[in-house]
Amino acid sequence: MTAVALPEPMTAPTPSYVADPDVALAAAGDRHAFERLYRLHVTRVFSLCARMVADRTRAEELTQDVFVRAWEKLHLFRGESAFGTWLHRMTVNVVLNARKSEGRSRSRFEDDDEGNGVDALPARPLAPGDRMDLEAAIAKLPPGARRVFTLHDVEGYKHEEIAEMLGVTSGATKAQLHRARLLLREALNR
Amino acid sequence: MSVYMPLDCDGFAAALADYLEGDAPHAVREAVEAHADECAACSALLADLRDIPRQAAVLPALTPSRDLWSGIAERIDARVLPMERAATRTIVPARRSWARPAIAAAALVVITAGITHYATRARYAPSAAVASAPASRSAARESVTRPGTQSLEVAVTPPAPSSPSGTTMGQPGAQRSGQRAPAAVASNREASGRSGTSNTRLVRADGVMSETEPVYDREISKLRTIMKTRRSQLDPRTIAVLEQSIAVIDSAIAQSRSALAKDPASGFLANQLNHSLEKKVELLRTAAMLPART
Repeated sequence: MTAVALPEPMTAPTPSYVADPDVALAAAGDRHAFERLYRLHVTRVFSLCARMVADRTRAEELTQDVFVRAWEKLHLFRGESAFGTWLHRMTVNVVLNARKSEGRSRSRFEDDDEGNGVDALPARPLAPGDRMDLEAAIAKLPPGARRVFTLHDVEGYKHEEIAEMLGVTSGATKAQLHRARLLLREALNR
Repeated sequence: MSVYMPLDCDGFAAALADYLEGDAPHAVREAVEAHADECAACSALLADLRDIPRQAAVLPALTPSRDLWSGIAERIDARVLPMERAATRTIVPARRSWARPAIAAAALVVITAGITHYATRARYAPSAAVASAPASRSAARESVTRPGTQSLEVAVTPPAPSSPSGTTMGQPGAQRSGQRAPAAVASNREASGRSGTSNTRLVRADGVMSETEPVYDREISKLRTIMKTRRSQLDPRTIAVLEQSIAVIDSAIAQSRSALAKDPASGFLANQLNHSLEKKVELLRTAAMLPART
């Protein structure tokens, strides 16, 4: 397939929502347009939620929260980035905020990664020769390592961005990422 | 010519994270690569750790087990009767979000009880009895007739509900802001003969709530249905606080109704009742929009 070079814009970049009529319509209150946006983006939003929380039912609830929140905040979308990017960042925020809320109901001293490690990996016995797939292994990671791995290796965020989202240093996210990869390797090679 | 210290397997493992992140100095990089060339186990480790991100980047999308849109639409549709305060409220964690409504509801009860006591004793005589506006798509006028006096026509702009498609009110934010009519307008200055609209309702002072309450009742019933379906998604403590707040508001509603039965001509009491009903709708709407399990 031949790649076609698009002409460079002569003026300031056009807000992306102008290029996406459904974003503009939804921002104007058109619920049907918003539903079309939902259909277009739901799998990506759900995938991110599911991988970050490792619980599909919870991920479905969070996905709904994301779209309700997107509807609430759509008038703030200025089109500086693609709608998908904006929605994706909102998804991360919703998941992390939910985690904080849920964290308050746990013991304040409980570290969600504490005590987890290799032992926390495959709970189900594997048949001889059977290898766990990467998706299942990610779900078995300790939460902190899973979040960083998902955001960095699956979603492509940079360490600085992840550190800002999580309120930690980029050194900490690098350490978590390396730990996650080592744990995954162990799980995949079992 | 590079100078590096040879690494053993432990040293290799210790240097690996920085190496993979590209943070290792040149000499360390060379040492890591030299060790990997010599050690099959460490070479395999390095290869695996390089391969995992590649696999992760091409993982297929996951799909929800069901269509989630209906639940989203239901929550969006909860805003069928926009009100200014509900519209501008930001959803915050439940621990904080119920504090203000609960305090406001408690204050409402105290104020209502005091006023009711005063009103039933002193036979409060309103200068203009006005009911707050229920949901209506366009501006309405209300004609208030006080016993023994001339008919008063009071202009009331009721809140314009969002259309099902939401296409009429601009952006979602704009749609929700500036739509809410004043809860009540009571002024002799407005007692003039303005022309009515198709939504004109005759609201008699002695039956002022008879036409507005059903609107609230329908709205409350609708929101309660949504809450019922969402009950399992919310934290039990949130539900408990919600029900407690509703009980307080229900108490205020009952007191207002009781006082109004004794003094049906009181526009003030009618207004208080409307205010309480509005509070209840607002609280239920906020609850319907709450994120799950916060």
